[in-house]
Amino acid sequence: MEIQTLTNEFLQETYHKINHPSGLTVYVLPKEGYQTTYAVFGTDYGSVDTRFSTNGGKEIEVPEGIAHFLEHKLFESEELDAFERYAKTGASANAYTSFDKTCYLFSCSDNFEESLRILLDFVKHPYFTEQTVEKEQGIIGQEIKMYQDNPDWEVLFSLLRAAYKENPVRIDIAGTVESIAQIDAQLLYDCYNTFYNNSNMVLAVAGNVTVEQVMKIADELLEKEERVEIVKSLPQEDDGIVTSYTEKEMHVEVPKFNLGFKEKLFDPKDLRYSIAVSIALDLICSKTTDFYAELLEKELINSSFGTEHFWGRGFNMIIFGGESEKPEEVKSAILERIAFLKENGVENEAFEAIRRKKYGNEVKCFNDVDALANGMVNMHFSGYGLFDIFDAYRSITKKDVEDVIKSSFDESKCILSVIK
Amino acid sequence: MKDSIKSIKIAKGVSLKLFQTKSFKTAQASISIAMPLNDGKNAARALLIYLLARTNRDYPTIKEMGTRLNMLYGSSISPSVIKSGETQIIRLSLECIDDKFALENGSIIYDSLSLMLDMLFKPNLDGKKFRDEDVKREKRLMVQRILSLNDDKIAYAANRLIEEMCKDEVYSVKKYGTVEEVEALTGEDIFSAFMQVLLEAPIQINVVGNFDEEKITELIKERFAVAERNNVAELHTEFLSEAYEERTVREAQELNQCKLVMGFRAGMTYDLDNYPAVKLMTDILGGGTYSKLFMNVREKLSLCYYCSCFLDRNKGIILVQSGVEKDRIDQTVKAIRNELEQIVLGNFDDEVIRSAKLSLSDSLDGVFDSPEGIDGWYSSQQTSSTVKTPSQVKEEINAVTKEEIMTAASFVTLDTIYILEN
Repeated sequence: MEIQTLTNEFLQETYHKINHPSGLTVYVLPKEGYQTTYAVFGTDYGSVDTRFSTNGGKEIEVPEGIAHFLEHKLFESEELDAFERYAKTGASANAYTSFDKTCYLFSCSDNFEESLRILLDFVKHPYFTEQTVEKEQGIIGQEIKMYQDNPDWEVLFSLLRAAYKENPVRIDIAGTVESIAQIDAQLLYDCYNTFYNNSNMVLAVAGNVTVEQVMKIADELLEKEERVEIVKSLPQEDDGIVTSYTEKEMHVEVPKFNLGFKEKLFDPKDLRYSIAVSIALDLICSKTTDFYAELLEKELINSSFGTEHFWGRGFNMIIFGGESEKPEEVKSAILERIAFLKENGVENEAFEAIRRKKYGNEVKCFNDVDALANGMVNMHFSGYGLFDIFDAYRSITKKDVEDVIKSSFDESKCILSVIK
Repeated sequence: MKDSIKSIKIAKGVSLKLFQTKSFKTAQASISIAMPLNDGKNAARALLIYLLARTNRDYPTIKEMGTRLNMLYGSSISPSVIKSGETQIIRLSLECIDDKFALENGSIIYDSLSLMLDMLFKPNLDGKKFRDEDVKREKRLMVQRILSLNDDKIAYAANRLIEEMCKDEVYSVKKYGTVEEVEALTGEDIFSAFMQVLLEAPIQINVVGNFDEEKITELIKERFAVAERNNVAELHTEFLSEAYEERTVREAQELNQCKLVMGFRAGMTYDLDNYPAVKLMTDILGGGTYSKLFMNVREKLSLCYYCSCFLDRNKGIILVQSGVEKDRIDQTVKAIRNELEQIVLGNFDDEVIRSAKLSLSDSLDGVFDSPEGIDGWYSSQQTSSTVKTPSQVKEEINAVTKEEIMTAASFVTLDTIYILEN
């Protein structure tokens, strides 16, 4: 078994990457002095993966929301379901599905080995019947409706639908009441057998744990699996947007907006790009700019104002969001601010102060076992190392950020989504 | 070692809690200022804490304050307003990286804490009032903050339930005040609320991390020396141990899903009254995935996605929340009542008691695994008569018997049902 140990002297942190004989990649980050351990078992499979083929076979298309449905159903088994088993260890267990990932996790301060055994066992042993599928349609139907009543969620999805014509990122992660009605046990098995192959998965553990503990349970439970070659096909679509303005009524007290720029796809390994975007956003409108104070003074934004670099497999957007009585004016002000920075570049002092803050934030991340375990899952699927972000913040230059500002934020790919 | 905390009296009604640890990459600190919720100045105090955190005399603009925090490696100092029983707490919370990660000499913890104290002691004033333009800005932001609370329908329904259930109690007073109260505030009002909290409010300061104890204590003592504190405000919360009568309130909005909230009186007469048994009982009812509400109302009956239960021990009330279809509201209410009734009757096995104890113990064991956890643990007990450690609470919970759980459940009475319909 191949174990790679990576250490960052400055952060005083070490993690281990193990290529387990079963085909699964495992990461372990022991934290001294911690009682809690956090484990995540994830697959590189999310809501956008609705069309795919395996081992050179025919492409199949599955209903929207099936990745999330599968996440719910995996907790069940023929005997005790996973929640009932966790109840005997005291671990707190959960799962989430995003656009491009599905992750099963638990945190515990005791009985780690037994909880890990449960995690690996239930995720690797699916059990679906028509009856249990039907029961879940009721529960997930309510989950979908719960999100539909959330204006922050709706303003984002309106934006995504205005940005992407075909890409499934435009559909709710949980699908629709109609789409999940088409799901049956066989479809669930088809997706499971494709995406829950060890070669498409990762296990990451951080906290009060050793490599030996994790390996012991992995050796015990994981069987060697032949690698499955998966081709995930996203619909072809051009760089253009569907519409530059979208509006929906929802009875909110203060109108909500998302102002998004549809950006070109990038290689997730290219940390310089994502870091430059994050610094650029601070330079454009964080509290360290006169621009932010100006927006407040003109009563265009309130304390909910913020930014997000929203990206994943097959999509990339930069979003400014918040609440405003005059979203159109916020849009003009932000466009003007960006045009100014494109033209004049950024101030050195502001750049250094923001870089310093980002460095501090990276240090802070190394406190949380949940951030670390989830961080290892993300880095694995994106193809970089855990300390690389930290190093990239130290080496990024003002010019990198100026270049990103110049090459991003195309006005013709700008969309305003409003809920009022 | 894990539970080691040092308490130091700084001034009358001002206490400092120091928690030394080398486990973390960050330090955490907070200043919590408590006053009665119903003295008519809650709106002024809520606005005050946001005003204090925005700028001060040394950093008079938002940009200067933001840049200062960035130069401290992204230290964050955030204001918040909390309703703890019938007490309003205004708080500043600090998170910063540990000194050993600074790229040059100097103490980030000391400088950040000093900045947080300056927010309190060096406000940006215009004589004996806060500056008009600052007050105007914060008033607008506060009004929008209050209005936005209505946009999260799950939270809105819970707030409405409290409003209805406790309408004759202090507890129904809004933590930020009302829109009208905020709009009426002047710079003078806020200054007077400011002077009052400096002189009268019970204040708790927590510092967690790896720091020079003497220097930090000295710094805090020195700042508080300016305030001559004589009368410390008394804090009190009234507990109704039993509901008088059951009431249902219905409202309608355009929604995809109805929000249901059931408000119960927990049978408690003060915050620690039978707490371990009540806590365990509510956890069995609607805590984790082993709970009766999750197992039966969600998994067996498939009525909802969420159905869970929350105990506010500072007021002795229990809320059960769910999102359901309109035509299944009655069935859900009935199912929830039934689950509580089953606990009263003892129709639950030792297995679920064991699960609840394990789960609560497990989270209590993890409390001290983060600086926020430690700070939060002690902050949340500011108004409590006895301060406990997580291991003490764990021990008490593990000692609870099945009979005690049944008894605790038998004292629970349903007060108000709030339904937000579509």
